[in-house]
Amino acid sequence: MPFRISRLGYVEVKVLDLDDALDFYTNVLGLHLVERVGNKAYLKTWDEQLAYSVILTESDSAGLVRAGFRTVDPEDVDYFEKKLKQYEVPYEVIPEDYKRGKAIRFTIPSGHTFEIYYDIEIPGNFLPKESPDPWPRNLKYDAINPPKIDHMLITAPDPTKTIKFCEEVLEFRATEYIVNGEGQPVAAWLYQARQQPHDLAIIPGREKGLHHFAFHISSAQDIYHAADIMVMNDVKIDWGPGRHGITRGAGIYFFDPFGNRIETFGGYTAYLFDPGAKPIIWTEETMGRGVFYYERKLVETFLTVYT
Amino acid sequence: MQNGVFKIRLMPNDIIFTCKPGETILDAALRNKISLPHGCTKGGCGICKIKVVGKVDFGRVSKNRLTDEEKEKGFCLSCRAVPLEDVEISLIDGSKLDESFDYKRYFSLIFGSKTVL
Ligand code: FES
Ligand SMILES: [Fe+2]
Repeated sequence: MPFRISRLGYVEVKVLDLDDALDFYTNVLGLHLVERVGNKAYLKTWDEQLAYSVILTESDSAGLVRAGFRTVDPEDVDYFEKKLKQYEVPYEVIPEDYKRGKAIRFTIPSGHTFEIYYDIEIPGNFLPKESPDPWPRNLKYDAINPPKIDHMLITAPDPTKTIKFCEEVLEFRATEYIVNGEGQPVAAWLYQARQQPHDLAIIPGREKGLHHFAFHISSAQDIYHAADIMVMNDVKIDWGPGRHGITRGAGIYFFDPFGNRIETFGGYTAYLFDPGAKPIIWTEETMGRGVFYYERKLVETFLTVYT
Repeated sequence: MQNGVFKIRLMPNDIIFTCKPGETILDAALRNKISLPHGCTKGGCGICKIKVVGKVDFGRVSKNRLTDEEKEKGFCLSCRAVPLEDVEISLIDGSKLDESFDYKRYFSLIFGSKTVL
């Protein structure tokens, strides 16, 4: 079976004040403001080709509005439309959105709104198309400046059901699971075409919960640099810099000014997963080490703090 | 009493500490080595919800974590609430804050749902 989803394309996240949010997301995180339109702002990282990867929406609460996954080919959108029909999942066709064409929008069992789309403007990254240097010169030197969005972790009241939905209907494949005593997956790390540890992960929790969304940071040095910038700007760090046993990624969990958790993720050890390889299994006994490798136990806020 | 410096009394522990002008209940508690439950510290997650008797400025909080009704009923998010007079606070079930405090249990008290892990 071919991969049909190329990556997590965008997340739309609620913030309580758009001005304060933009100050944080552009000056501290180092995203580029594409455009502010009404109560929304569209942002992207410096190395992304597509029009945007983060949408901030002013609201009276924090949390996730929707997540968009971009397909590999245009026909894949129709493929998933058929698939949703076949599984009797209600969906809407959204003919267009900001700098984007058609998307199909539906709700997954955990209550989250997902969109699948292909057409989106591709303005390119911040480098020339011809003979580029490896990084742009005009980045803010004291911002984190991640090159790309990486993945999203959501919470589900019935995680096993949500995992199954994402595997069967959306055709995600698992790199790693936490299984319960009956051998059922209660948490999963799911990937598609990029064959990275994950585009989407699911853990138990409230419906519609956004545990975090993550940006890639590649080297250990960059991770510590990011942590420095967080401290300089008095950003609340939840955990890290540390290492996950699951995904082997090095990360930092921190909060935006409204309590949405963000992660810098990646590091020198995040792997590629070969299709057909068996998922890695963690148990309820070993999951502490799985989530927080050095601490070897879940920090208290992991299962109880999210938007 | 100096402007903005108020007494915060944690019940039923019966511990009294003071906040600095403009300081949140959570910051004042942590400065006094009292580990009130907290997570995001930005009014977004709701884990720091406590009961408060007395006037506070509720601060910038997510409405789905602290509703207007809850404000009227005497709840606040300690990470955002700034006392406007001497106040009395307690955990939402009135239990004593001690070593047996359990985030998962408090989470189910607040959200009425259990985490499976
Ligand atoms: S600590 Fe998250 S709302 Fe107060
Ligand atoms: Fe993550």
